[in-house]
Amino acid sequence: MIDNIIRLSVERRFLFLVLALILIGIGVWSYQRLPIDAVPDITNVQVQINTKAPGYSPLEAEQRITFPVETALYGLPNLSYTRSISRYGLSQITVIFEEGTDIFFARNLIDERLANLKSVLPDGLEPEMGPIATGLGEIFVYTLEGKDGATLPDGSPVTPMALREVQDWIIRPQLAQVPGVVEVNTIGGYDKQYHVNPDPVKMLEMGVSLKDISEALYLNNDNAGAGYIEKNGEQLLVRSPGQLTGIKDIENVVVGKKGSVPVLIKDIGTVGLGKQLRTGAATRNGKETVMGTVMMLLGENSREVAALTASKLTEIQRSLPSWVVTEPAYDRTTLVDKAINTVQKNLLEGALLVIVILFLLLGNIRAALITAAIIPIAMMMTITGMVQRGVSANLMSLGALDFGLIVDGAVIIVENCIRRLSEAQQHHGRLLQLKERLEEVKIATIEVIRPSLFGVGIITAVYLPIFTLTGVEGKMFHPMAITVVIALIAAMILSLTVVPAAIAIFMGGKISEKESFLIRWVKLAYEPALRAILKFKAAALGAALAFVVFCGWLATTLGSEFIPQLDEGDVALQALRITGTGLNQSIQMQELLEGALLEIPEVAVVFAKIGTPEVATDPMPPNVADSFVILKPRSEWPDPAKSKSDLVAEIESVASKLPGNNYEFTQPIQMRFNELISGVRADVAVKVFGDDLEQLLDSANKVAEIAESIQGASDTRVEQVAGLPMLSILPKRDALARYGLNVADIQALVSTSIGGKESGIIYEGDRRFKIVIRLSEELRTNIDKLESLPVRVGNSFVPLEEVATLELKPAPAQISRENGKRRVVVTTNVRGTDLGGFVVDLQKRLKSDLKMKEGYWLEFGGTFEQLESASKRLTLVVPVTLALIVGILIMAFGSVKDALIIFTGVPLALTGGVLALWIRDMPLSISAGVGFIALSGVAVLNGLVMVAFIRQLWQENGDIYTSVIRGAIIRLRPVLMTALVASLGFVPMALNTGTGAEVQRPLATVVIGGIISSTLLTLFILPALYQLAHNKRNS
Amino acid sequence: MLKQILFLFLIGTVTSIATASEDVTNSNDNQNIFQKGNIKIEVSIDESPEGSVIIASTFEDGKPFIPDSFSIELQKLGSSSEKFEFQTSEGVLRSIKALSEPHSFRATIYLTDKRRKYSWEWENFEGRTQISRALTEKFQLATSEVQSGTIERHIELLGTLVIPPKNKAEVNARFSGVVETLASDVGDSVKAGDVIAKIQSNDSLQTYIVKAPISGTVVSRNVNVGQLVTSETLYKIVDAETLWAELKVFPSKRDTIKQGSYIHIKKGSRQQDAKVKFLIPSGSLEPYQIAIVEITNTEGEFSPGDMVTGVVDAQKVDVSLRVENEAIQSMDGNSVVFLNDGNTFQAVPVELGIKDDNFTEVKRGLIAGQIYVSKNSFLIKADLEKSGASHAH
Repeated sequence: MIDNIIRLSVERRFLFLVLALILIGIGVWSYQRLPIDAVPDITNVQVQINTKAPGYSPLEAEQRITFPVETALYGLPNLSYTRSISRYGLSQITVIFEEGTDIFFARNLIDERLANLKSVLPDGLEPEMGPIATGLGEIFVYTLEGKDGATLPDGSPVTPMALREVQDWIIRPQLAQVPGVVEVNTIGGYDKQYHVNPDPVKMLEMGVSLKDISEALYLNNDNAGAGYIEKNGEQLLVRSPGQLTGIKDIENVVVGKKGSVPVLIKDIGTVGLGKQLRTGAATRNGKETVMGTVMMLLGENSREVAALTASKLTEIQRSLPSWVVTEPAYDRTTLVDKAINTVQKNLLEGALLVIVILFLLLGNIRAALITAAIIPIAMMMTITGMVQRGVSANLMSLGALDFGLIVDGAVIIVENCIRRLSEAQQHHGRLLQLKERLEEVKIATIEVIRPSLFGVGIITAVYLPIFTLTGVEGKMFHPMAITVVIALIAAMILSLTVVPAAIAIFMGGKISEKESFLIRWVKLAYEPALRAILKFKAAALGAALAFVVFCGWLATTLGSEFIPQLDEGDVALQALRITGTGLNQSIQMQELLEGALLEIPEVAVVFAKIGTPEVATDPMPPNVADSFVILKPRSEWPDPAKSKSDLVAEIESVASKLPGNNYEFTQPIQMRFNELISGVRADVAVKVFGDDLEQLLDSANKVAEIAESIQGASDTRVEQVAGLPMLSILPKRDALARYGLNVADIQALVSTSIGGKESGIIYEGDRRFKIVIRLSEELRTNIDKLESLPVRVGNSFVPLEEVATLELKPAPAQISRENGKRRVVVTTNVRGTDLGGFVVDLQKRLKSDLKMKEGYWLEFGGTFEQLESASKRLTLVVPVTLALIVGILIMAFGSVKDALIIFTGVPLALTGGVLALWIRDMPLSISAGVGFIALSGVAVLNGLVMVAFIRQLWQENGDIYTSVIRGAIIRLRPVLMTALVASLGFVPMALNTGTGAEVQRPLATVVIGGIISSTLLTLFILPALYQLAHNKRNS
Repeated sequence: MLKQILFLFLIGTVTSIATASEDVTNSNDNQNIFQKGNIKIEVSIDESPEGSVIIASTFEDGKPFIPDSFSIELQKLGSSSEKFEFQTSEGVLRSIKALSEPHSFRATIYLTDKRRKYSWEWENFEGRTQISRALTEKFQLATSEVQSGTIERHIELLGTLVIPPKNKAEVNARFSGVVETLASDVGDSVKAGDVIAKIQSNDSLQTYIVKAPISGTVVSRNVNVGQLVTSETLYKIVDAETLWAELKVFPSKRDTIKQGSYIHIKKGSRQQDAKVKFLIPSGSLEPYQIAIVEITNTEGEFSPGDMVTGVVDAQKVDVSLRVENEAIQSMDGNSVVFLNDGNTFQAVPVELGIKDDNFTEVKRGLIAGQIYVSKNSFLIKADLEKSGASHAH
C-alpha cells in the first residue's frame, strides 16, 4: 500500500503539491482560531458556588448555607468531589467534576439544584456560580487613580469611593462587553452608600425606633405607576414619582410624631455618604486604589482578549471624568507575546540551521529547500490538528517541537533520492528522462520509506507513556505529547507524498555527485576509524558498556524536579498576616511592603489584592494579600543577566525585613492555579474528618505531634482554622424576660447598629446606591459605648449590658469541609527518608497511638499519592511501550536479533543526554524525560536505517565484514544529517534564556547531548555489534 | 536496557528527592548545653503553674557533680539584672528564686569549682523581635513610659429632664364665678404673689383676686375674661429655672453612684456640673433606681422632656502602674504589652486591673519606667506570630 501511495504521489505529483498548498491554507485558517496562551491550562473541571452572606460568622455561614447547598449537590452525575470553606460573610463550595465533563453541562446541573434550594436558604441569600473561567482567566488588571492634583467637581479630594463609582458605573459595564470577557471583578474602594446615622439618645427622646426609620424610608421612596387616561383623544400616562433623590430628601423623611410635631430623620440623626463594610481592598505602588480584574471566558484566546481589553480601556479613558485615570497593571499579552517570541525565534533559527546543514551536507540547494519546505507545511498541519484536538498553543505544546527531528524522515528520503539520481545520471552518463527519473525517485523512496516510517512510528510510540500521566502532570504534558505526535504524523504523511512528488518535479536538472567537502573529509576519517573499531570489537563494546553504567550512576546524582516552573516573568507573593488582622491594618502593612519593593531597581509596578473581591473568585480573609510584582523588561535592569531566582531571593530579603508579614512566593498564573486546584501541595496530608471543631483541632494537633515524631518529617503544619477574634453579644434570657424583650429584638438592634440595615435604594440615572441605617463610626466601634446602647422597652429603655453580655474571645476563622464533612488537614513534607516508608510508618503509628472518637476518621492524601500512582502507571506502561518498540523492530526486520541490536542504541543515546545534563548542571525533570523519550526515537531511527542497509548489502554480497563497512560508509551521510539536523535544530532552544526557556532548555540539552553520543555509537558500536552478532552465522 | 535506564531515571528522581534534605537537629528548645574543658552543664527551665525555676545539671568528665558555687545573672529587656542563686535538690541545681514571665533573657552563668572560674553566655528568647527604627517610624509606632497615674472611670446614665414638683403650679379659682380680668398670658413670667386674675364670686358677688403661687412662666391659660369658672385650672405656671434630671440607674451601675456623687449633665454640646440630689427607687416596680439631679436653667438652654446623659465620675483611683489601652494585645489568651529597647521588642504578659477610656492599670508584669509600645502595638504582635500565618484555599 505504501508503495502504491508513493507511486501515486510521484505520478500525480502536481496534484500532491496543490494538496500541500491546500493544507497550508487550512493551516492559516486554523491559526486564526488557535487559542494562544503562555502556559497550558491545568485547572480541573470545577464550578464555584459563592454565597455572600453579609454579617454571617463562619459558623453560621456553614450551618445555614454551606451545609444545605452541599447536601443539594449529592449525587450529581460525574461528580468527583466537593470542598467548601465558610468564612465571615461568605460560603464557597467548589464542585469538582470528573475530567472531561463538559463544564456547561455541569453548570446546568448545578443551576437546577440551586433553583430548588431557594426555599431552604435564609431570605435574601442567593448562591451564585463563579465565572466560567479557568486559572488562566485573569488576563488583565487595571487600577483607577485620581489625576495628580485633580479634585472632584465640588473641590474635594478624589476619594476611593468616587473612584469606585467610576469603576462600577462607567468602566465595568463597557469592559464586560468586550468579546471573550466573562467577568470584570472589582476590588478596592468603597461602594457608595447613603448612611443614616441615628443618635440613640435622640431616638429615645423622640420615641422613634430603628424599625420606624427603616419603615419610613421604605414607605417614602417609591414611584408609582397609575395606568393611563384618555383625554381629548390623547393617551396620558399617569405616575406619581416619590423617590428620594439625595441626602436632603432623606433628611426630611418623617419617622414619627412627637406630640403634634412631625419628627424628621434629621431630628434624630445625621445623613451622609458612608462607607460600606467592605471585605477587600486593593493597593498599587504603596497607595490604596480601586482595581478591576478582567476575566476571560474559558477557551478564549487570552492574547486577543487581553489586547481587546487594553484598547477598550484606552477608549473608555476618553469618556471618563477628567479627574480620573486608568492604568493597566497586568496584561497577559506581554507574557504571551514573550512566550510566542521565544517559540518563534527557536523555530525560525532551528529551521534556518536545518536548511544550512542540509545544503552543506547534500551539496544541493534545491534538495535542501525541498526538505526545509516540509517545516512550514508540517507546522500548518500541526496547527490544524491542534485546533481540532482543542490544544492551545503555549510554551509546553510548542516548546518541544523540533523541526530537525520532524524532517528526519524526509531527510533520509531526499538523501537517498539524490544519491540514486546522481548515481543513475552517472550510470547513464546523461540527464535522466522523465520516466527514468520518476522511476528512480520511486525506487529511492521505497528503499528507505520503511525504515523511516518505522522510525517515526517508534518516536510516536515512545510518547505513549506521557499520555498515561494524569492530574496536573497530565494536563501539563498531554498538549506537548499531542502536538509532537501530530507534527510527527504530519511529517510522516508528507514524506510519503509531498516529498517524493516535489523531488520528482524539482530535481530535473543535473545532479552533481560531488559530495560536499565536509562529507568527504568525514568519510576519509571514518573508514579507518571504523576498521580499527571492528578490529578491537570487544574493547570497544566493553568501553561502551562501562560508559552506559557510568552514566546510569551519574543520572542518580542529578537533582530532580517533578514539574518545571514556567517563568512568567513576574513575581507573585502572598503576604500573610496573622488571623484577625483588620483590613485597614493589612492595607497599611501592604503599603509599606510595596514601598519597599518599589525600591528594587528591577521592579516596575507592585499591586495587591487584599481580602475578597466583589465576586469571590478567590476568597481570602483580610489578613492575606495577593501581591503582584511586575518586573521591568530585562533590558532596563541594572544587570540584564541577573537570574530570576536571584531577583526573587532579593525581593524576599527586602520583604522579610518588614515586620508582621509572612510570604509565599509564586507567580501570577501559578498562584491562580494553586488557588483553583487547591490540592494539598505537601508530600503527605492527613485529613481529620468529624463534627466538633474543637475535637477536630485536637485530633489534628495529635496527628501533627505523631507525624513530627517520625524520622524525616519536616514543616509539619496544622491547617489554620481558629483564632479569629470575635465579639459575641450574648442575650441574657432571664433579663430579657423581665423587660418583656425577645432575643430577636436584641439581635436586630445589634445587627442594625453595628452591621447596618439596608433600607432602600437611591437612583441616580442608571446608578443605584443603597440607603443604610447604621450607628455612626464613633459609636459602633467603641465597645464601651456599645455596652450602654439603649434598648427600647415600650416608651422606656434599658442599656444593652443589662440584657446581654459582651464577650471577646477567639472563634473559628474558617470552616473547611470536604465531601460534605468538616475536616482539618495536617500536612507534612518528608526529607531525608523514603516517602513510601514514611507513610506506612505514619499510618502504623496513627493506628496504634491515636484514639479517634466515634464519628471521626482519617484520610490520607498529598503528592505522595500522585507520585505513587504515576510510578505505578509508568512501571506498567514503560515496559509495554518498550515491548511495542521491539515489536515494531521485529516486524521491520523479521529478526529478533537485529531488533535487539538496534535497541542497544537507546541506552547508548541516553548516556549523552545524562552527560549533557550533568555538564550543564541541570536536574532531571519531566522536560528532560521528554527529551530522553525523543532521543530514544532518534536513536532507533538511526540504527534502523543503518542496520537495514547493512543487511541489504549483506544479503546482496554475502560478506558481512565488507557489508558492514560499506553500509556504514554509505549511511554515514544520512546518519550525520539526521543527527546534525535534529541536534542543531535544538541549539537555539538549549541556549535560550527568554520566557519559557526553563521548559525547553533541559529537553534541548538532553537531545543534543544524546544525539552526539547516539550518532557516534551508531557509527561505531552498532556496526561492531552487528558484525559480532552475525559473525557466527557467517563463519 | 531502556527499561533499566528508565528505572534508573525513576530511582534517581526518588533518591534525589530524598537526598535533598537538610540536617535535622534533635535538640530540645528548652534545654541548653554548655561546655568548657571537662565541665559541662545543662540548663533548662522547669515550667510549672506555681512558678518556673531554672534547673541546672553539672557534669565533670561526663559524671554529675556539684560545683563549689553556681549562679546565673539574668538580664531581661527593660529591667535591671537579676541574680539567681541555686540550691541542690535531687542531684540537680534548682534556682531558689522563681523565674518570672516572660522567659526571655540574656544571662551569664557563673560556675566556680576548685578555684577555677567558668562563665557562659546564655540567651533564651521568646516573644522577642527586632524591628529597625526606620520601619517603626514608617509604621508610626509610638512608645510611652510605664508610669503611675489615675484611672478615671466614667459611667453614663440616661434620663429625662423634668420640672421639679415644687416648681409646677396650677392656679384654680377658689370660688366659682366670672372672670373679670386676667393679668397674665402664656409666656409671661410672674412672681410669687403677683395678682394674675380677678374673679367675681357667684356666691358673694365679691371680686376676689388670684395670686401667683410660685414664680415662673405661665405655660397655659385655660379661661378667658367673662367666662364662668368653677373648678377649671386658670393658669399653669412652671418654674423651669431649675430642672431635675431623672437618670435611670440600672442594676449593673448601682454600686457606682450614690447620693451626692458628682455628675455632669450633658445635652448635645451643653453641659452642667451637678450633684446627685436623691437616689430613689422607681415608682412602678421597674428594676432601676432613679437618680435625681438638680440643674439650673436660668438661660433656658434645657427644656423639660429633653433626654440627657449624666456622666458620673464613678471612680478615680490612683494606680501605681498604668499603660495606654492601645498598648494591650492578646496573645495565646494572655494580655501582653510590648516593651521596647532600641530595635528590640519584647512581649510581656501582664495582669490587668481596672481601666478607663484611655488607660489600664497593670497589676503585675511591668515595672515603672519601662518603655512600652503605646500605638500600633498590633504590628509587634503580628510580627511575633507571623510564622503561624498561613492561608489554605
